[in-house]
Amino acid sequence: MWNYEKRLQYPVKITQTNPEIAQVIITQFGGPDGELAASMRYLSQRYSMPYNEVTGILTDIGTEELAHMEMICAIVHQLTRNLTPEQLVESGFDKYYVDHTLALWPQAASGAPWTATYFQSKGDPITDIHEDMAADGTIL
Amino acid sequence: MPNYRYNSQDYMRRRGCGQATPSPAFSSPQEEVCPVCRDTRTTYDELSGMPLAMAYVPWQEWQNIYEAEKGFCRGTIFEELDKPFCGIGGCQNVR
Amino acid sequence: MSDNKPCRAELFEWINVVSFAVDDVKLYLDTHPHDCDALEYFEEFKKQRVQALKEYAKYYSPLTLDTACTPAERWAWIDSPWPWQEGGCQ
Repeated sequence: MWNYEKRLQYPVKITQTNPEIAQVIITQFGGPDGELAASMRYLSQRYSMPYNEVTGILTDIGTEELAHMEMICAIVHQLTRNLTPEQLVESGFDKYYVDHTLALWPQAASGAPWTATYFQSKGDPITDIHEDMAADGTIL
Repeated sequence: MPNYRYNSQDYMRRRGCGQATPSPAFSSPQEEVCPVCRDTRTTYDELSGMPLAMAYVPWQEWQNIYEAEKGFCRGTIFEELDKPFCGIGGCQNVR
Repeated sequence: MSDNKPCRAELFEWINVVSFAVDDVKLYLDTHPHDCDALEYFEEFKKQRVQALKEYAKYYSPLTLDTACTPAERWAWIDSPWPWQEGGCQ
């Protein structure tokens, strides 16, 4: 099960709002190569791994990716604080705002909603680790 | 009709005996005969003799650990895993 | 009489630094469970982290449920700022 620590793994202190870039950065939250997909990939694959070392590392990395997800959400949250109606329209962030206001909702920069099709979990250890290497490159 | 059903013995009889040859850095390829299986292979291929159609990942050792503060800034305590994103097509700053 | 209250920002930064060291060595140990150097490194930074978290909870606010001080007059766990809010990273 999971515990929560009331801090970000690395501080996020953004002073200047920027809704244009927030629309792009949100993809690192709910997009195909984002932290939510990464987390779900590892946390899903770990149940069928036949080695403790791999189950362990998938559990721990999956957990850490949730912490990364939190940092991305913090970035988007801080980039979109206190926006005026003019800023919303000018930046194009109004498209997101109309459905979610200033809430965080997992989607890609394109607007495509997060989906489990962003990862694979097949039960064969070699296959799954290849999926992990494709997704995360240097991490695994 | 020959029997093509799976036989693990067949798959064990692969080229080479799996013995890794020591690979001197930057040596030019030269033919060498393995004393175990009599297979010829070039000496500079570290994966020589390994099964085909598989991906291999080098084993990480505990070495070159950053100071904790530096590790926190770089996003890794392992110097070998410090690979900054440069955005120029797969290159990185050569130290 | 001063209680040697540590600087909040510095202690928080230290918690981040030692916790990150623990995070990274933990991943290494998952695949290298017998590596003595790594085990030693983990022990050292775990010790620092546990101490720092306890101190932070004592002087400021709890960052983990395990360090939430009870008995207490109120449940500080729900206090602002939250980590993603302004002032939440110190």
